[in-house]
Amino acid sequence: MKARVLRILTVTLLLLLAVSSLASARVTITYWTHTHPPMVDLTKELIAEFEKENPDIQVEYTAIPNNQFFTKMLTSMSTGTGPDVFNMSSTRITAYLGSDAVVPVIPSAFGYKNQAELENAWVKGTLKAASKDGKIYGIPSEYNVSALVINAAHFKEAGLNPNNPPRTWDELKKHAEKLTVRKGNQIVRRGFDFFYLPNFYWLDFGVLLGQQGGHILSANGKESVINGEAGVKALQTWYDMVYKDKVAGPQYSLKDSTNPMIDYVNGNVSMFLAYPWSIGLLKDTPVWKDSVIVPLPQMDPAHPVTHAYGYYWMVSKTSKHPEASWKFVNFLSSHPERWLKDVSFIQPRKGWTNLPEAKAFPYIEVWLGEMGKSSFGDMSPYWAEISAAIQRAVENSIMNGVAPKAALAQAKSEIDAALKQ
Amino acid sequence: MKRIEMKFGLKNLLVYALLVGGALVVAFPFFYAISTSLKASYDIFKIPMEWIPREIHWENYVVPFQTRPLGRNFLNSVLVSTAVTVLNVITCTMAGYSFAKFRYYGRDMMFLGVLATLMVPIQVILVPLFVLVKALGWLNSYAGLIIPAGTSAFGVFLMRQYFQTVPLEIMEAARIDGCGELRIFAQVVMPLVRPALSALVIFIFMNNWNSFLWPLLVVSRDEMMTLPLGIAAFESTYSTNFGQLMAVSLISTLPVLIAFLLLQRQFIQGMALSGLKS
Amino acid sequence: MTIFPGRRLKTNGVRRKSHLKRKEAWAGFLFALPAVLMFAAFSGYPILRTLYLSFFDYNMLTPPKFKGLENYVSLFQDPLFWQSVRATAVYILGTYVPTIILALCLALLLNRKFRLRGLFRTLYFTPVVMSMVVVAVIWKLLFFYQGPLNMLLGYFSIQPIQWLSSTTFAPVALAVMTTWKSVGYFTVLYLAGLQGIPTEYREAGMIDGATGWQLFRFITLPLLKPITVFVVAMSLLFGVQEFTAQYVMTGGGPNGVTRVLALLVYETGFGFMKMGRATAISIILFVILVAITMLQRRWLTATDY
Repeated sequence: MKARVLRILTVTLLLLLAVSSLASARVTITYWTHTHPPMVDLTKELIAEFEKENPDIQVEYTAIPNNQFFTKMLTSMSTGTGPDVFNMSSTRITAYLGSDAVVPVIPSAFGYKNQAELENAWVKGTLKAASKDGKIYGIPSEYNVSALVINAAHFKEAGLNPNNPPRTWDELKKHAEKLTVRKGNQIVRRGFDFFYLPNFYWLDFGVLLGQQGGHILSANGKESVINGEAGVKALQTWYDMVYKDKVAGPQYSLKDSTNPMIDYVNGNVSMFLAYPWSIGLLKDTPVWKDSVIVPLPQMDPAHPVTHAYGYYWMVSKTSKHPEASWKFVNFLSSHPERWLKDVSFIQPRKGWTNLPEAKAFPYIEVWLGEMGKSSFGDMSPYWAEISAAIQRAVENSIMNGVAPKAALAQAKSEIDAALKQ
Repeated sequence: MKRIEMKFGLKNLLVYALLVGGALVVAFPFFYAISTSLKASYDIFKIPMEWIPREIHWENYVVPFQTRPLGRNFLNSVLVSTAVTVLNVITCTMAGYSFAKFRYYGRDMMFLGVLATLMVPIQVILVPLFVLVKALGWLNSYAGLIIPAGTSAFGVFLMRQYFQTVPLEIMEAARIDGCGELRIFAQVVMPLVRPALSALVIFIFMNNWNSFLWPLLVVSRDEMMTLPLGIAAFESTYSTNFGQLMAVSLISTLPVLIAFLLLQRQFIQGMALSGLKS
Repeated sequence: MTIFPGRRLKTNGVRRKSHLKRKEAWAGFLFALPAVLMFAAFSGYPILRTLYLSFFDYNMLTPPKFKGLENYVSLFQDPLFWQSVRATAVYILGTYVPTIILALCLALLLNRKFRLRGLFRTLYFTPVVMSMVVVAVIWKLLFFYQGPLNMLLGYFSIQPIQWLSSTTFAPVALAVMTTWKSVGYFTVLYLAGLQGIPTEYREAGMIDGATGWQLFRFITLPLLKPITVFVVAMSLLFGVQEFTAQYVMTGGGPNGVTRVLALLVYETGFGFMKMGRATAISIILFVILVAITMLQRRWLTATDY
């Protein structure tokens, strides 16, 4: 009797010990992203699956309103209360890398022997935005290149052939002239236009600049060369569309950063910029059946330039569980098919092009073609300030009618001041 | 006599006309917001705009509550705003009473110090405040949402102004009767300042109900989020359902509006007596 | 710390009285204590810390580096900073001068006894209770070039206005929106002021044969002065603190004309990761505000009735 009680006690004790050690082995990692409903939904699904597969890891997920994402990130990171894993745009990464706020990937958490093997698992060049001194700090959750979406119905109305889209900006202007519908001094339908949204000024102007062979910063990164000949030509292209050809106009743009494609969806623009995520915004709208996606026009088709930007999963330096965190990132990035299908995000993990979902993704050949030509534009830890200076210059020129040269000279002095402070 | 009556009639008509005109101007954005809240996402940006939606989407008022934890957000907001208001009523009345009716060393300096805090833009003090609240272990807690907002310079100022209208003799009389200071405060003075309290309650509740930046920083868990944070989650990078956003936003203003409706007479009375003695 | 206000006197009776006074002073101090402690912790400490950080280079990810007065010096040389100072002045004057005038007019109209008075009051007050984020989203749609406001103007054959994409009209648009949002609040304040004026004053004026305008100019308006002073102070504080409106509606553009100081602080700190510089801007702003408030006080005492 006594022996039995003792045995039961011992077993219970052992069980308790086992349970408690299991409980203590269970780690919790926090994960933050900006809000984007389809992405949030898929993320929650994937987390549930990940937790099932890894009962020892628990993920606490928070989606943070876009406009305040960096406010919350910075405040939290400054006190070491930031998330273990977060998602950040390539433009912002440089500042975080320079400040030593994140840790390099742990290849073994991905099942790779070393960094070289991991690097080899992603399409060449796509990890560059999150690399520093030969180390990799981030894994892409979305990789974006720009293309052109054209409204075939408008093309036919204007007597243009949608199968023969503009290949250069000069051709685009000629097409836009024919596509633009005017009523008195007002434009009813713009032939082409840009986004006029904070982060996109940098992208739109940046790619025009790149195609002219220009740069924002000098080779040593110490000063801005934005107002060089290439820069002036680039902004002039945009300026002429508004003031000379009158096929575009910032006032007609809804400038709604929560839905950049809205002007095109409304049928108020015939040719518009598009990104892979645009598909998600277009495919359920009435204009989708008339839409064709074609490569981005070039200044010089013989030397094509197009810019990429992306979002990357990173792990904070303050994380107590970097191994588990990277394991989680590996899980998230192991389902490119679902990111494509549910959220229209391209994740360039090698082999993604062979997936049936990739083959079914609209205009996949165009996206692949653009990705092949793409590179990241000028990166700098001062990106946010540079981007704001570019926005002011474009607004000053495009909205106020100031000559591109003068507007860019102001941008140069602003950027130079920002670099010095 | 008749002429005078007519004149008065005309005058009243003019007053009504002006008020109705003003009301139309004030109501126009609401009309537009309500109209928007009943539209399907893509109809909102249609050009030319429809003043009254062709198809009415009542579900904009229902779906958000089914797809997001807005009910929980709402409860959190009620809890936090109420607690903050109660705390403010206590701290602001006590401090206002003290600054208005007592003489002691350092009083004016403290009062000026309190007023000076009004003049610092909130965004910069957020970071050091966050550091402090973190050190206190209040991140992701109701304490972190409530306690730092537990007093307000404006509230102290308002109550001080009002207490200045209360005659000293009332307190003196109570003291002679042998009342303790706390009892004088709670039973003699407080009942006299009830109108100012409704002004304070509305002001504090309103500010806290709409508070966004601080809760955003303190709270990282869905179950702790307040209503403005819940609503912000509707906005997204590449697409927002504006109809639903409008619907939820309109609903979210109702509690404060109701509070104002109930308390408006006292609110105005409270302001009337405190504002005049500057 | 001595909290005793009175002087010690020798007679027994006075000593007893001074003992009571002393007790009272302590009670008064204790009443203020909870609020004062909370201010010290949740405002005082962060403000001092802000002042401290304004002498540093701080990106919030690496420890702050001492810079001396450099943040201040480079701010004074920065045209963008001065542009923001201007934008702030334009925003405050453009918004609150019309707001105060309109509020006074509305209060005079609402101060009569008539039916539906409560309804009108509530309607005018409604925008006040809405959050600025929501208000700004609504008005951004209203101001759209092909949106409702320009459509209304179109009914009167007025050419559409580029409300948000022109440097001339973007500040106007912001002022219109903020006026709409805040006029109800000041109306209620003025209404309260009007109700505090004893009717005898006006009656006396009427007996003296004063006209409506004279009654307003020489009796009502001077008696409303304390309210006006209060309202002006509130406008200044509200106006300086506001940045959500600009952030949502224009993002500070076009070309920075609506980038008010509060927005510059937010952008510099959290966007550009230059928290030291951002704190320096707020310290300058604080000094400006204190100076204006003191001037206002002087103006008040100088022209007191």
